[in-house]
Amino acid sequence: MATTTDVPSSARRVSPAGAEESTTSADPLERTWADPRGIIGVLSAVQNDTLGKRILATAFGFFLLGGINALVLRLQLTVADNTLLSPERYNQLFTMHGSTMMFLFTVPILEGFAILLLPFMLGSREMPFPRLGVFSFWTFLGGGLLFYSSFLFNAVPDTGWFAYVPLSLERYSPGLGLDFWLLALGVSEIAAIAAGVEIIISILKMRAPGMAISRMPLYAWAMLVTAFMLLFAFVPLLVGSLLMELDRQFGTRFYDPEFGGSPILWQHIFWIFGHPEVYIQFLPAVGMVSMIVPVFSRRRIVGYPLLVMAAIATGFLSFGLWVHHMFTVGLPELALTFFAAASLMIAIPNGVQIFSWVATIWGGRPVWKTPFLFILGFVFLFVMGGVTGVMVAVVPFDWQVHDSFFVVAHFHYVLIGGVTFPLFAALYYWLPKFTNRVLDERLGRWNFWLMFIGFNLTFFPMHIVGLLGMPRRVYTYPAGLGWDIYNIIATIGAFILAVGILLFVINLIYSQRKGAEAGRNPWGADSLEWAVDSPPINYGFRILPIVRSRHPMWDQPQLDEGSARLKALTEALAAWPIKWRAALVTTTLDGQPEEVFRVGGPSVWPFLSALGIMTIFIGEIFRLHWVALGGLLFLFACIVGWHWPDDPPVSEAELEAFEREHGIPVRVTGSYAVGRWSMWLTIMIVAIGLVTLLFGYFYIRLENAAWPPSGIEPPQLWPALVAVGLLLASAVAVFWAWRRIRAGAPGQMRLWLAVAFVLGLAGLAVQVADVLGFEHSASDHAYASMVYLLNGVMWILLVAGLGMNALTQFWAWRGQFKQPERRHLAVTNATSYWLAIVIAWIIVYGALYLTPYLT
Amino acid sequence: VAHTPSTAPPKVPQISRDWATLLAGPLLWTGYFLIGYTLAEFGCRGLWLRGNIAGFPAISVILVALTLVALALSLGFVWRIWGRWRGLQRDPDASLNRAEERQRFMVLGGLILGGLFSLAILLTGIPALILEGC
Repeated sequence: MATTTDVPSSARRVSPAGAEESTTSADPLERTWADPRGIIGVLSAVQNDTLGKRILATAFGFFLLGGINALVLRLQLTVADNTLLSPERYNQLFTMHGSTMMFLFTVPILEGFAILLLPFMLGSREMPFPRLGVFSFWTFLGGGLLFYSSFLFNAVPDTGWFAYVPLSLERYSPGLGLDFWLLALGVSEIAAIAAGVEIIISILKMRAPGMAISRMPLYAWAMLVTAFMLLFAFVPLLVGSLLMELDRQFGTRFYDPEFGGSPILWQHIFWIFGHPEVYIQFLPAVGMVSMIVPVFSRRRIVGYPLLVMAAIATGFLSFGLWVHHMFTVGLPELALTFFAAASLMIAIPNGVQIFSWVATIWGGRPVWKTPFLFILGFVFLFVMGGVTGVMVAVVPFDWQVHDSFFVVAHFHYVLIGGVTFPLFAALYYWLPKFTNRVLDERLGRWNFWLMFIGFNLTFFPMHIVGLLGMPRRVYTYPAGLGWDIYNIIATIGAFILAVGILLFVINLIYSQRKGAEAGRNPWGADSLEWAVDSPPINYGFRILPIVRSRHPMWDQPQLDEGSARLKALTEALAAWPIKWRAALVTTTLDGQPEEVFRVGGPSVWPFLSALGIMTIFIGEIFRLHWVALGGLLFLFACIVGWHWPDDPPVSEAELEAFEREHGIPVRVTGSYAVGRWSMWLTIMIVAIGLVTLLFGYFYIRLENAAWPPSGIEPPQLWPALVAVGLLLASAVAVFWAWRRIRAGAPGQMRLWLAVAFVLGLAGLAVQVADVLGFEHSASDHAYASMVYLLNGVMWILLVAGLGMNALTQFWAWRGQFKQPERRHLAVTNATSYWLAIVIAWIIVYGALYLTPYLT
Repeated sequence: VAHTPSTAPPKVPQISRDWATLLAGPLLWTGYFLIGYTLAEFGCRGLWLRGNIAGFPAISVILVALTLVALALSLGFVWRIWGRWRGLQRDPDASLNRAEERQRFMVLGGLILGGLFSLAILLTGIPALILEGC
């Protein structure tokens, strides 16, 4: 734990490693890393700072839209019996407000910050999959625009950001409104998952040499936990949304209680996403605060290990809280206690964080700049939100205030106080790095105080009016209940808050024209992003830093100092692979150089792939299934184009010379370490999705007295056993193919892959034939719906594996694996995927075929 | 600078052991939580664990037993990690290399998280002692 109070003044201005040279277009390194110009450049740009700024601007735009929704809602509630909005329009606006803030503002802007900051903060040149980041941006933008286009079609969703069933089913919400909610936001959810994968691998594998995980910036720790949470939370939501859309469009019965389905299942799935979502938003904010507090306190953070462990603990505990949104549903009390306990426990890591920041400020010499004001505001507001959070974690208290304005007040203190205030601190703190202009301090102070006062005026009275019984989500209220004055104050506060936010926009525009130049490190900060130019040049660091401290800018006068071997490597990377975008992969725990690999460059494939996804979802919204099918085929073509291998930009002799000199493998066709991580994460995503489906299957089983229901025969076991046998044999063949390529025999590998392909196809055929004999439609009962869904999902996963197999054989036939020691990553990944799918097949079909006999 | 990052190859290459040390507590709690909640939800709906054991509702008895097992395991982990931590503290090598510094960090983290999640298991299990069944 760091205890030094003072930051050495000599370390405030360091000579940044390699960033000292001015760059021109003549600089070959700059040329290598630059994005193309023109319209193609706009569509294909992959630079993390370009991408990060785009995401920030887009998300902030949605923030303003969501804020306008909120202001109109407040106007409606200002006085009793108001008729400014119809009940329908009120429902639409609170749905749009909540959905916008949760899906289109907070999560994307935090991901945008991560993409913007992480490469510089970690001392790397890029994110591991820049094209995936670009894909994530276009899908996010497309999804957001599609969502708001619902106004154009007068089909605005109106069942709340949680879209409870049965209200959201076709019977009670006909029309396209809910389809917009499900499918447009579904696109954004895909974007969030893609960003999660990118962030995890970036933090674990692309740090500067020497940056062991015990030296990682606290922001990186917070984002690492958050990114894993993104996968564990958003995948179930996607699955739950899929079930709802199937119910709406194809007549399945997952959520229909009349046919054996369960409305409560949707609540479970939604809140398995929904509660961690709060911490998905809060943890990055925690990371930002932990970076900003020491800089403005002029001392090192108190309790670095405690803050890291608090983030990890929060990540785990947040998945044990979901039922505290369902305390009034009628679940068994004994079951509720599990969630009440976890809801109370999570106060401990959050309290540790607060004490750590307060201790840091207490022991430091605070500098009262605007970012710091927003941090202090955050601490005050978040403590208030936390206290009411503990209150609603207590079951009997929650029963009293559930669905009242008390809860509205609580979560706005947590989400605006705990997330938006740190976000504004972060904007004031980090934007100068990317614009080279410091935002105006005087306007910043006005901005802060207006937001702080406006916020408290808006939301504090809601505690009182909620305790007085005012329900949420009701468009008006009668006079004489004692609620009027609180609502008037809240509306006045909302407009003051809005003026504060407007002032930020004005400040941004004003400072771009007249703001003081920021220089490299205007705050005297300690982390690596402050070592590069403002705004950063395309490649960030010419010579990668070598990290020897948690506070490299304070403790290391020369960032490129290190062992002779490391120094030689980092200097060589500034000079040698000048024709291609070389980045360093380091070991997960200790940050030792592991590989040099070629990062993906500018490409239009991600944009086109996002277009394909959009086409699928637009087709489904308007129930034009042939359009969706066309989009699917287009997407498939784009994915193949995206991953089409190209010729290495360097000769074998050059590669070997570099490897010999520096003792590190060079992978110009893709990093082995990064590729393996991406496949593991893909398998993890598939596994989370399947576990969610199985949870749904067993939950629906729980809701039914007989399984299968009367009138449906239990399945015969032998076809499933034959299919499993064939797939197990195919797994052996795939494994053997992998062994052959490792032995340097690509021809034999192709043979065994072909055997595996035939066996896999045969297994699939047996299973398809069995389902074709099932004499019930998916609309008959939730059981039948589940039979078709689980089969369909497994078939798609298997076909994807067969596709990988075929592509691998195709590339082998084209000679891609002639140097197997360099290029068998594709085979290894295809093998891992196939083995995982075979295991999943056994589990899913085991559940589907055995449950009718065993339960 | 006493140590540059690459001069010392890691003396402690037990990477999976270090991850296990760090995450043992949270993972154990996750398993306990999911099993316990599933038993409570299914048991209280009458699918499993009906009837009484020694005059107490079967579901409560099973949950208390589960809590005790999980708590014992969790405290066992903490004890082992504590032993490892003390071993590291006894190492007089004041000039840690990067891998050792990182290992100490992960062991300390395992200790903190192990303690916290032991408390979480205890807190989660107490209601089963107090509530009369579901």
